[in-house]
Amino acid sequence: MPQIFPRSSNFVPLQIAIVLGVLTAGALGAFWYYWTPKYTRVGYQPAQPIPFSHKVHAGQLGLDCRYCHSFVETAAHSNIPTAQVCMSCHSQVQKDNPKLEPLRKAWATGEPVQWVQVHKTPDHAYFNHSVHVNRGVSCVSCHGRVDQMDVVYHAESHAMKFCLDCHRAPESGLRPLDKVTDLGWTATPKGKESAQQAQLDLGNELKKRRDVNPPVNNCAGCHR
Amino acid sequence: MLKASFGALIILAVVGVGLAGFRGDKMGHTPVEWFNDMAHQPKYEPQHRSDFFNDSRAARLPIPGTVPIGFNLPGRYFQTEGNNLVDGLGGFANQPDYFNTGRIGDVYGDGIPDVLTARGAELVVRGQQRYNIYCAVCHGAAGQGNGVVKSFGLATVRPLVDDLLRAQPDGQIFNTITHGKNTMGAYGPVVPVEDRWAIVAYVRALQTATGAKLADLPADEQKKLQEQK
Repeated sequence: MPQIFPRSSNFVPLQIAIVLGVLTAGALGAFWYYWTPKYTRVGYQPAQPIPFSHKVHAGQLGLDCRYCHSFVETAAHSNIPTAQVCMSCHSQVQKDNPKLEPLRKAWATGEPVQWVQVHKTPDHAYFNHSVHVNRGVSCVSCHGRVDQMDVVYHAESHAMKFCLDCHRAPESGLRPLDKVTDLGWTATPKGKESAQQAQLDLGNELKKRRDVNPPVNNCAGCHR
Repeated sequence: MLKASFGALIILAVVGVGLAGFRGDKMGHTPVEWFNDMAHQPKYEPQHRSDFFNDSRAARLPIPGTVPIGFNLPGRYFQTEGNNLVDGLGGFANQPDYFNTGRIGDVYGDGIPDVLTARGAELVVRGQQRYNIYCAVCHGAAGQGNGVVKSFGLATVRPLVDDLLRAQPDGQIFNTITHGKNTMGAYGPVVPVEDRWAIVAYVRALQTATGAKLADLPADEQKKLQEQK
């Protein structure tokens, strides 16, 4: 009686194991690449009910961030402006632009414009805007060059490592208080030192002067 | 067999990355979170929507006729711990006194309220900073009525340094910031009471500066200017 299975079939289980192994590694790799917190939200760029351009308002016109996000210095939450703030200008500027229809509707009825949240920290991390802004951490550190974005996207990762990198070395981001909303600002190098070194020198000085001591080993500092 | 499988896997990886793009690419869809680890909790966050209330706002307006804890209603429900008169950002600002309205009775008062004058030059510096955020956009950094928005269709911007505004009492300027006037919107909901007074102080400083003569300057500043000539 001839053999049903050829001799090479002895290796089939091994081949299956190898292929399954590679497949698993590939799946894990894909998960690590796309879905670990470091990159989950990066690049998120939702369409908004009104195509509001930060590039025009913050970049071209030079509006201070706090003109609209007016309570960022006193509140944990950086507020999205009400229709009232928009209407300060848009009651006259571009007042017939069809793109602004949701705004005019909100102004007439009191129903808020349904803006889509772009940046988000997990609900178990209690990020406080005011405490950062008042110590000289710039908006740009976490939100990127919003003044150059036509449509805002999530530029930085906001994963826990991202927070800790700065909490462990706050000198890398501290700047003078009047430059916090100046997104393009960089420390001026003295003599031949690099821009990075200039930032560290200034940051270390400000850290000492303002007694900056962010929670590093204390979980309850951010996770209450 | 093995070779064919690897070939298929490589094709799968290339197609996968090709369809999904590299990580960090711009995407319009909501991020996919496999394990969201309580990142989204069923609690209301500031300015978020609620499906429970009819107007879908999680933030509620005070019910008409109610008094916030710590708020003194004039003549009624007097609470000794009331904080609405305290000079602080936490204070409620609708007490009908000069500090909160700029009016004494029915007329506009003049002068910066006593609780703020103790801050001296710091108040003006604060005013300058706030002015540059909220006012300079239209009124211009020097109050000439030539801010950047003017070139975008805001036709009527009032200069702040002309005789009419010089003659206005402080309380009236405060009232204009709070409620707006003509084409100007109300800034009361955005700028706290103390900061509105600080802006008034800075507008006065601008008016003084634009009308200044050489003799008004301290001697050493006069000398510096003359040397520049």
